[in-house]
Amino acid sequence: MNRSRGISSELVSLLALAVAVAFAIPVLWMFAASLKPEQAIHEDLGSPRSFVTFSPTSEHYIAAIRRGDVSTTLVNTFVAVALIALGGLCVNAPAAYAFARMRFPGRELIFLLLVMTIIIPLEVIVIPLFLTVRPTRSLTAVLDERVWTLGALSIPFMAKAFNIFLLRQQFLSLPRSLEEAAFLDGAGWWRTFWHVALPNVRPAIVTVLLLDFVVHWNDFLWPLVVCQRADTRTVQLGLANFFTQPPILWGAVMAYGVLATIPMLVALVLGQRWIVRSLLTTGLKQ
Amino acid sequence: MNRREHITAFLFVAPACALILLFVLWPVVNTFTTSVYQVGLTDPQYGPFCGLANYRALFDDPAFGRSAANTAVFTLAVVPLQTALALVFALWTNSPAWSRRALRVSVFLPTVLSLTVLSVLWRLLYEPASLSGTGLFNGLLAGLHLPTQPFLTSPRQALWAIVIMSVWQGAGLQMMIFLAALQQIPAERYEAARLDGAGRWHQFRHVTLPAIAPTAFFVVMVTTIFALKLFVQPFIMTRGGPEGSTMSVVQYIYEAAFFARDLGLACAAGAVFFVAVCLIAVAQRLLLRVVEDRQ
Repeated sequence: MNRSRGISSELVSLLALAVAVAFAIPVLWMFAASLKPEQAIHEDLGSPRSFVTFSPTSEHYIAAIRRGDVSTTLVNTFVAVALIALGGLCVNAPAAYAFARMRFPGRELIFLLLVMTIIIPLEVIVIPLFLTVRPTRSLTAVLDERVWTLGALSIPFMAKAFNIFLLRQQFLSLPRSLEEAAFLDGAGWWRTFWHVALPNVRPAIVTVLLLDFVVHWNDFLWPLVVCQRADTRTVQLGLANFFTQPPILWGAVMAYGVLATIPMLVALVLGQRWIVRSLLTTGLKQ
Repeated sequence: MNRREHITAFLFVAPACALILLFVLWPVVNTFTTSVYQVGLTDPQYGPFCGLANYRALFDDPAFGRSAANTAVFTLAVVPLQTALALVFALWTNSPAWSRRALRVSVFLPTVLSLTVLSVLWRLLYEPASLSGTGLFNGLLAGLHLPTQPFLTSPRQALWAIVIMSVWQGAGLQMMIFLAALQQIPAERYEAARLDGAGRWHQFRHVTLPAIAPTAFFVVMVTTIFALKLFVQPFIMTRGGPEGSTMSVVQYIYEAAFFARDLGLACAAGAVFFVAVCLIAVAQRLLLRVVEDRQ
């Protein structure tokens, strides 16, 4: 009885591993294809050799950088995403703090309205949002087109009801005594917020920055609408464009995909423990 | 003192509220106001007021009906498939064994990767058998001596190919949400059920399921909205083809604005879509209340 259960649990473990491998096949194949000669990609199909390479080559990465201009699109994306995350923190954190701690007329109503905007998807309002930012395009007479595009890519997504909600929860979970001590020392709202409240919710701040980074790194529809010149494209748009330009070299396209993926994966892996910590503390203090 | 607190609070809240007003609420209002005018993409000013003419044109356009039907089929297929798969994986990987942890990581990985990268990738995986290069899936089918498939190039298979890719991509996030809910269930409840002689199925039916029902509902709602916004996968893999079989509502809106250059029509479609999304969200809420009252 005991032995048969042992065997069946081994079998279930093996099955779990098999399913894990099956789920990872597309991504494994992408990495393998980006590293092997174009001809080998096609010759290896249908055999387990599809997922390994015995003669790794960097030719596809060089092709993606030369032909696809990955470096420009990576820089554009990085700047736009950093603007969203940091600009977002500057407007969302004070708002979250005010909703958590200050008393003012209409607080509950305004907060409720804000939270309701969480469910409005960008896809629904993309055309009128384009109409909202379009008049500022005449600024390109003064500003550089690249500067305008970075603004159009980032400013509309800085304020975010979800981030305000998340940060407010964290501020609410801080013990009030901390801030009361600061008030007794004569600090005003601003100094209490900046020197006492904000440093105490650091894991939540990292979480919010990271969520913004990952979500907007992957944006596609909005960049498709506002990026009108090749040198203003984001990396996702650059990949989609590279993919439609014949001749389609599979290895180079996959190399572009890998390059578009790695910065975000690195950010996620580095930030993972902060996210876990901020979620855990929210749970413990409530 | 109170006045000063109000002023400070206003200064803290104003920037975020102003941005949301300008970039979320104003566009929502604008969807409806623009939808009753004739406006071309490059017109500097709105054309004449045209009442519901844009809506009439919209409902007379078979392409819009097609895209709405495609989006509905996609949503009705993806939501149950993805939720069921996520629940199975959550139950299966709710264990510290390293093989289960490997499975968890592997299922979660695609949800953090970009939909654009994955769409390009799957487009190549689905490539039909040809001289210029066979996709991995057809390569595997041929290796197993099974008939190769047209996948994305067939009007009958393309939407389902996109459904499968989307379920693969999205199940991991819901699995994580289900896992969090499963880990909240106190072990004593299972203990008590076992003492009452409940088998595995009964434990699942009477302990697990009631405990995760609210989470399941949340997951279904979020997935529904995600599925309704379908755009990137078909736009990259098929451009809405073949024969319009994968055209989604969002792509219809995008093409009305930037290919047909008719902003009035695009906003009418956007308004219909907005109302539909809201109605579906409200309907699900009401359904939940009915179910809760029954229990």
